[in-house]
Amino acid sequence: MTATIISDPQVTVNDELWLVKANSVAVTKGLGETSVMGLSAGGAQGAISISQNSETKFSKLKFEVPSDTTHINLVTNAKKRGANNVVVVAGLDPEQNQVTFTQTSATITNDPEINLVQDGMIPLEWAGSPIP
Amino acid sequence: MSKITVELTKSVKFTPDNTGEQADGKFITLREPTAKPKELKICSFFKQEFFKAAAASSKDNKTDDIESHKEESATGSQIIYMMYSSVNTDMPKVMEKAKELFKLVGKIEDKRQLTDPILDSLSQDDIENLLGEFLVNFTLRSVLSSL
Repeated sequence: MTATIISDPQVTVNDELWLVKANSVAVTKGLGETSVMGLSAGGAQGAISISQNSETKFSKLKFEVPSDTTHINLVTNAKKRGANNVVVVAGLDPEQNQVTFTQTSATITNDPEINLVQDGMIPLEWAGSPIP
Repeated sequence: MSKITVELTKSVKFTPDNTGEQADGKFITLREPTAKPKELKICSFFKQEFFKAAAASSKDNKTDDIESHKEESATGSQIIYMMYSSVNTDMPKVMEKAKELFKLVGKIEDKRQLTDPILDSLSQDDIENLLGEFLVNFTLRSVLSSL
């Protein structure tokens, strides 16, 4: 059995294709963190409780884009739009199986650092509604 | 400036401006092309490819060519069919150019300018249909009315 890891996804923001740095895309779907606690039932009997932290039920995306004028403008406009963005990350494996992550109400949470150096990139962190 | 509306056989997702949500796009509007260099160049290319196909079609004396539809107005699908039937027409290039042009003249649901990701998500039938309607209503309108 072979697992083919998707490493070159396509990223679109508001239906515009954005170029991203290879190996920089990470997706957190926003299913929420789950904590587990051990409970005592007496007589050396153990039990556990499971609880979900709803505060963590939002999706997160990370990727880097090049510091060219096109992407500087795209990032600036997306940042100004607040949570009125939609980011779609789509990947294909060699067998053409597709996986798509659609983040709605997406906002750039970091203050993007525009690195004006050789091979300069702009790291972006996004948060939005949970990805179904 | 006139525009046409073309229903899609398969709806596509798009992001209306400043909503942060996706919507289903069920139709596309195409506006009349202008004489801007890029639009002019692509439309001239379409016209040239159409005439190549029409010339070959009339030479072969096919029964299903445009000439045979003199009495009735030609439809977009007939034009596309005729162009595909001709070996002189470079249809892959025509389709490529059509997508370039639609980014300039097309809007989904008359709200959002068409982009590459939106166009890539359309079905082949819908792209052909868009091109056919565009040719009949704009690029070839004067040619077809004089046939």
